[in-house]
Amino acid sequence: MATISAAVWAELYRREFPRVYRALLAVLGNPDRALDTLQDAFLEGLKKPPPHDDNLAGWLYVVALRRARRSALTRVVRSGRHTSPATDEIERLLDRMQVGTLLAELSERQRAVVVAQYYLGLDHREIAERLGIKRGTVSATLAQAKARMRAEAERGS
Amino acid sequence: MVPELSIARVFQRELDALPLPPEDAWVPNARPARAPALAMAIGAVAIAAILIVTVYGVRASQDPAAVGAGAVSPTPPSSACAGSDVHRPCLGPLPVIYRSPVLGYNIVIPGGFHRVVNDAPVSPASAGLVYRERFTARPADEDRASLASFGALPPWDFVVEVYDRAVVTASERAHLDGCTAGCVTTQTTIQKEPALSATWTDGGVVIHAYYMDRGDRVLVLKYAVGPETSRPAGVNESDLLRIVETIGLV
Repeated sequence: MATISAAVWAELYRREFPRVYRALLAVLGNPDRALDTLQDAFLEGLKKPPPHDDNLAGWLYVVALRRARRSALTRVVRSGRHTSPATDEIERLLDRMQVGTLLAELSERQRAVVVAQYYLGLDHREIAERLGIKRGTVSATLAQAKARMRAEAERGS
Repeated sequence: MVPELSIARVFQRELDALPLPPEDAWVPNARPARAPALAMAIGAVAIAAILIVTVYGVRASQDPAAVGAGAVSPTPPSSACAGSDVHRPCLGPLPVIYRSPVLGYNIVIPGGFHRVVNDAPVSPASAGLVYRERFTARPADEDRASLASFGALPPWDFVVEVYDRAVVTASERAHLDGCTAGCVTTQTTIQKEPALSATWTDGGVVIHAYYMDRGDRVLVLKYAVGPETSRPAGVNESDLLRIVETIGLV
């Protein structure tokens, strides 16, 4: 992406926010974490805009997930903190949804790959490039995730 | 069994229904304290009220100038905010739906906006242009002044254009509009249909446009974000983005 002004970056970010926020919510399962990490991705893009301009949502998603991993330790330390009723309500909503059930038994990495494919519409090549893993790993992760989701769906039916 | 298609459908349907945080929390430097439950509840009630008003508050169509039969008569331009520097509260509460079934879209415009009747022709004429309509929140005199200053797409207005796809495709149209060097393009979806989104700057104005190939037509949605001094009272960029997000494709 060519050098862009902070105003343009903010506009682009706002446009992609709903989709990426919801994707992060599905992976991380927590609205506060989804918002925090997405805001971190915004700040990172402000300092250094993404090199590709073909899928900004994908870039924001991956940067936010990276941030989420980095903050995992902090999250454990802060795990006793108070969460708002609204946060709890969204988490419960997600749990009640079919998508929440399907994702419940997956690891965070499996969820990241599944959501990237089925919600953000990234293909295997894009997922591999953006998550920094091999295409074969993407295929294997997806296959394992689908098997688990299938088992979960059959258990629920 | 969980077929690929049904997984994708479940993800799209359910994740798209998840509530978003308040808009002022999206960008970090505008971030308030975490929204309490009461604020979320108020937001939900407000959204519900807007939906109800949208569904039941739509006025009957009488606009003969619109090509698509069923366009709805606009709210007259509001002067209630004239001279006010308070932006958000001044837009009228009743959104207006413009129906263009012939051209394949229904568009919901915030209450303070109106469709510009007898809009100035685009110069030079765009090849393949079938129909164009512009919505603004400015009163007529201010609208004329902004057209003179900014041309066919004044900042904070919303424009819909329909082109003959036999003449020009969506990506060609983007290029012709000015999406060239420095333009940021992404593939996105509007109401689950693929669209090319383009953002570029032109003389201090940031232009956002969406191009969709739809059958034998190309549908273009455009708005520009300009200097604060050009912003009509009550208009916010999220209003313009919401028009894109809530468009009905027929």
